[in-house]
Amino acid sequence: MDLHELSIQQAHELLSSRKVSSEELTRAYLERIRRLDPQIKSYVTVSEELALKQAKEADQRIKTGEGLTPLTGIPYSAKDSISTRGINTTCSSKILENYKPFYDATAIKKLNSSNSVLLGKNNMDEFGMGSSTENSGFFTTRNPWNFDYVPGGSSGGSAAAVAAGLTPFSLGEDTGGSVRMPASFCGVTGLKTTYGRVSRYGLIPLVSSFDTIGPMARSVYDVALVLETIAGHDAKDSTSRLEPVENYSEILKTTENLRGLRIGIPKEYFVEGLDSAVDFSVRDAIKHIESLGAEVIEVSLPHTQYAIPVYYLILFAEASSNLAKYDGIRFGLSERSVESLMDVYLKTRETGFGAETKRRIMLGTFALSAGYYDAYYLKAQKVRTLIRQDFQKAFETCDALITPVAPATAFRIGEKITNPLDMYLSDVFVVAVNLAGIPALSVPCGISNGLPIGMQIMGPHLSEETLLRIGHLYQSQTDWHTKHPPL
Amino acid sequence: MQLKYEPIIGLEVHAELLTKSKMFCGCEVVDSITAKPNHYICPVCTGQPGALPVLNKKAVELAVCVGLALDCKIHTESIFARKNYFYPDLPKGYQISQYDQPLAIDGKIQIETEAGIKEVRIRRVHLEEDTGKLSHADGHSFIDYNRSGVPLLEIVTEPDLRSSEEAKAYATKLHAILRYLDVNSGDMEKGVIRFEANVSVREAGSEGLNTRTEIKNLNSFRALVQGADYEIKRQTEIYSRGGIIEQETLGFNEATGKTYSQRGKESAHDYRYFPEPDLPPLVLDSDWIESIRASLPELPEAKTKRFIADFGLTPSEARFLTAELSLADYFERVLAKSKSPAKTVHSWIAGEFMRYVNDSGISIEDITLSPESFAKLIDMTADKVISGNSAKVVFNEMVKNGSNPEQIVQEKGLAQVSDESFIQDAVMKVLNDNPSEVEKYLAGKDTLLQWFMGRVARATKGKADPNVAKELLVKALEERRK
Amino acid sequence: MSKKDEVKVDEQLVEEIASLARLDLTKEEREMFVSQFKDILDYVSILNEVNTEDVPPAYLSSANNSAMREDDIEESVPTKEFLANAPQAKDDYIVIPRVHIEQ
Repeated sequence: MDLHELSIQQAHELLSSRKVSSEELTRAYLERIRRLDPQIKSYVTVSEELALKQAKEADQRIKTGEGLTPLTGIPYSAKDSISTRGINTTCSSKILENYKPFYDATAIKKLNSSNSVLLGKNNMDEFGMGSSTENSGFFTTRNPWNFDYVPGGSSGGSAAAVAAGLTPFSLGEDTGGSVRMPASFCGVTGLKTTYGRVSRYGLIPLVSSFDTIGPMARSVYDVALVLETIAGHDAKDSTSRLEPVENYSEILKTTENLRGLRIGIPKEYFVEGLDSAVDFSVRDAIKHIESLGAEVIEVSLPHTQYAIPVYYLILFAEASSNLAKYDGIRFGLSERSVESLMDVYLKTRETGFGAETKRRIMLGTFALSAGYYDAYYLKAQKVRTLIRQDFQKAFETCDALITPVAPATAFRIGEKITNPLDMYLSDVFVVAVNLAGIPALSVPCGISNGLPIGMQIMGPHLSEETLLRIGHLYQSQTDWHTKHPPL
Repeated sequence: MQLKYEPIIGLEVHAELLTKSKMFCGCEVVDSITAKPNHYICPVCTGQPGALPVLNKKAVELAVCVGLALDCKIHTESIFARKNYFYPDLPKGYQISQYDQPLAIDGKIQIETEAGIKEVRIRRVHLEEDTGKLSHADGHSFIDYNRSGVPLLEIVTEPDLRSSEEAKAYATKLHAILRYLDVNSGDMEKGVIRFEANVSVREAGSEGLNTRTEIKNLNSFRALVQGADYEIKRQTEIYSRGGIIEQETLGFNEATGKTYSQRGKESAHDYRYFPEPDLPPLVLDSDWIESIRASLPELPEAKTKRFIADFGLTPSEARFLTAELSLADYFERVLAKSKSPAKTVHSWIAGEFMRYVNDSGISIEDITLSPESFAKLIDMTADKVISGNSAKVVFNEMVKNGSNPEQIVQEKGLAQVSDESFIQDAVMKVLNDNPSEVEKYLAGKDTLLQWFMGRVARATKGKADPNVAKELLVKALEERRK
Repeated sequence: MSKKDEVKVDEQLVEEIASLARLDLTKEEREMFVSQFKDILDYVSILNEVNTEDVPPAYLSSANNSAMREDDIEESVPTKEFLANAPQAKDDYIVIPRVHIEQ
């Protein structure tokens, strides 16, 4: 087996028995990135120098054998919205093209203390605004399964890198499906964590009340290993959860069946317009899960159809405020061949932001402005309460919900980019989860016309353990997650 | 007929809170005038992408203190909001403040006006963060973020003030309360308290409010009075001419004493407030609030009442002493060490002591004169160990060199003398040296007695007990009449 | 909610919003935004169907209320690290074109 095909668990065994060094593993990935990424374009920055330095440090630690964790010496990549000290962190925006943070995000710090190895930063839609990576300020990432198709977004670079064997795992970020959708389009496993389960400190915000960092990897088990490393309360994030982190991977090892679990199938997610192959694959997966001992019932989430407008209104508003700091004064792009301070603002933001970003800033500025606040922002926050209540009610009768991640498999590059509203609608199954702040796992469950299909397993707040158990048992019985794109 | 106009003023006061670290990060709060620029900064207070705020508990405690002291209702759940606007001293592009549900509302402050005691209603008290500081030279502006994120308390009145004098009385009283609570350094020159005045005028006797203007950056009591007066006059003149006032934000130029328009109409302000998603609602435990209430210090009103009741001072004497906490404290410390009545101590404090404070410009906190020594001096004077004139000499020596009054009296030979023969010698010498004045006195010009007293005091270098001297003088003069 | 129906999306509105957001839009962008604004606002007006009387807004709840820190001083970041990203700096200050002050 090639080094790039190893799961984290397999790589850990080889590293700790010293059959392979972290440096060898890292070099193998760097070599593969050099070879394949010019076509796939999943990385915006490859941090080769840092990676080799970190790999050598990891090898030292492995030599002493002290304090090894399952992630010691394991390479990884991170979505480019996660701050990495001294390494470009651009959110795939021209406005941050040469920005090097002087601090690490908490999630990165935690991986550093495990001596994991940062290979580089993954491409994304600018500031997370998009569902295809076509809105990257630099270039579009291609779906490794078919280069004519999008990898999904906004964590498209992360998903493509994992799928193409250009990293064992990547830290993605999910604001409205940005981990799950690309995971589904690229055939990898991705977890949208409970809001507040992983610290947001150092995560460049799109929507502060929706953003979550989550692992993307080749199996549920690998996702669990990453999650137990990066999760936990952080005194630097006032919205982070205080509850202790479970030892997810240990729990998975001892899970034998799903008896006692009740799975809800929300009828609003299986409607006209759902691609028949997707419908078939997800229903097939549900049958499989039922065969593992779970009880399956139909449930209703009556406000589902309002999730997209609510999501986008809140997104526009918060994003317009979160993006105000990109003004050409302290960091990032600054147009200085101008006369006045006002021109610095105007020209910097005009040149630095892409079209979709500007559109959302405009809509958010409008939605928050005097006279429209109640009609748009406040109204959206009220309907959001109803959507949350839908989930609360559903979780009174079941432990998890299963739906498709997306209504169809990946779409073609260029297919939706000219119609923003059409692009927004592709998020129809994923955004409600962010409105409710609950966790959801995206698991590969089929392939149609050479493109992967994913199912979404949602649960109540802090139910990561349940979701991982369902996903892990499913993967232990199926092989969709082991399929590789033909590279 | 000329219409009379009445000013309507509401004040917004921004006061820095005395915490060690900033409002939302652990950076040290430093003197932004003397500290090296951009040395007390971090990802949070410089608005680095991804940095997040965490609320300083002490700032909340101090804010609750003020809310309680101003008799406000404290919200056990309050919400932080983002106030969105672009300015280079605002690193995030928004200021974290409070909007819909502030920390405290509906309070009041009593102020003294010419017409007597007046109650000014407090609309709200809320927490927010300070901005960085700009300086300008040539074609450039320079930004220092040391001050960015320093906790600020904003205290907003209802439009209850009717003159610049009332505005000043309110500001002075609030300043005193903040010092009493020890939540603010009170150092106006360092900009730790800043005023904004909302000013409108209306025909005297009419109801309703006219369009107001907002004067920003009033950084001293003087500027507050000048700015308000200028604006009242400007608006009155415009109305008198039949003009209209436009709602706008004004700056104030200390050099010219004039207000000026700060922003054009085209960029009218729309702060697009919305709840700060990075901070959960601030929920306060009512036990905690009660424990803060229980630990509140004695405030000016209560202290004034106690000074009147316990020390027999008049209301105006008591209010004079309690206007500043440091003065009231100093008074009480002197009084505790002195055998003299409070009235005597008050007149010393109001007299020599304040003269010295005003002349020297030294703040009361920094005065080295110990209350013990001061009390001793007051008592020595009361006991006639030294004369009033000598006491002033001793006082000046004490504040300069700090030694104890007995030592100064001894060194300078200032002890008051009641020894009749010593004084009698001086009296005889004065009468012999001034025969024509004696003649005039005997001819009926009684007022000359005071002149003779002065001469005797000079001849005895102020040591003569004035009562004894007077007695001997009268006796000697009467003898000459015979 | 009636407000939404009244919103008149035209180039002037787009320009006002752009000015608030400090975006310098081209004529083409303004025109494009006018039509896209209309579509998007029309789409989100579906929320008018939902009765939200007595429904509290969602942001009022949070799982982790009152997270506060003690008033302890933490080490600041070296000035040069902060200034390393600055477009222009001098004598430890960030430098910008002069802020216009009217008198």
